[in-house]
Amino acid sequence: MEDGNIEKQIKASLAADDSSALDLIWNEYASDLLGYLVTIHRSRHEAEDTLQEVFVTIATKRAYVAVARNLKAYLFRLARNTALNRIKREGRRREKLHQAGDWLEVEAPNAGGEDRSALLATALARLPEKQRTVVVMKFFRDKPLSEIGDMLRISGNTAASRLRYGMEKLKHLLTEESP
Amino acid sequence: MNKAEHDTGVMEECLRGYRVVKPTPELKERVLGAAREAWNVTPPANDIPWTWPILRLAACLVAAAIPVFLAHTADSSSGAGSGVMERESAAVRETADLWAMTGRSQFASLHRRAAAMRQPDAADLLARHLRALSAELTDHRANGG
Repeated sequence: MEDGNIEKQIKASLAADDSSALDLIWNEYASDLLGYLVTIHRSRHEAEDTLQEVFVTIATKRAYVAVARNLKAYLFRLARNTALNRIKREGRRREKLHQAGDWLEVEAPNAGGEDRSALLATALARLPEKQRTVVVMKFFRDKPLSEIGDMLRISGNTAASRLRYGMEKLKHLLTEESP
Repeated sequence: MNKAEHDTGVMEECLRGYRVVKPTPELKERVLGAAREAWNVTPPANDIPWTWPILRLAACLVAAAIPVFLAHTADSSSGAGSGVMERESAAVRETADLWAMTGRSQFASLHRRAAAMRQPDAADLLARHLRALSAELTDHRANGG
């Protein structure tokens, strides 16, 4: 089903006070939202807790969600605000405890067969958040730049330049940290 | 292909071997459970308050008015400045006349231009007001007040 149709269906369910809207939102956006949240928190557990908070907010503020002009961008903005509030509330101390590579999974082992996810996660954690988000969405979620731009409400060109700078910095960091 | 492009290609290939975590069925159950609970305790008549569109409209109007106001302020202050600059003070006129009397009219016009380009400062304006006040008082006394 196309994005626009799903959005309409979700908004109609929300407007009709039908809680099946939550399932629709989950099926359509939960993976991307979790992927986005782990790039902000750099921790699987933190991201999962924030995702729960996001869904609770959707449920309680459903009247506002139902009239959002661009539902996808609205949900990503909501996720980002919730994550940043959580970080502010709980402090950086707790966040640092979770900066392990628990949010990256090996899909296809590289030629050497070694798992470098911890090294990669550490290098990614040192990227600025905006660049990290684009790199993660592009390579780990296979999203085209136009869709990333749509999610983050930035132009495709901005997404492309963030990707380029992020990749340059990541290359530098990985070279620096490689044994 | 140069070395930098090759390195980037290798890194992209390496990155594609990883994935960010996906939501597990347990997480789905937990998140949707909490969300449904919140849904049920929130009254269905949780409509957007009628003030919401008005507030949004007001915010838009304020946001639109700020640049207009700033542009107007900047314009009027620069206009006021030029108006003051156009007025030539008596001191400038006297000095220019002196240059002209001594046969150096080129210095007189130079002096006028320099004075016109100079932004009058607060002290100048205050002095001008004091002179005007003093002239008023003198007139008043001369008229027997």
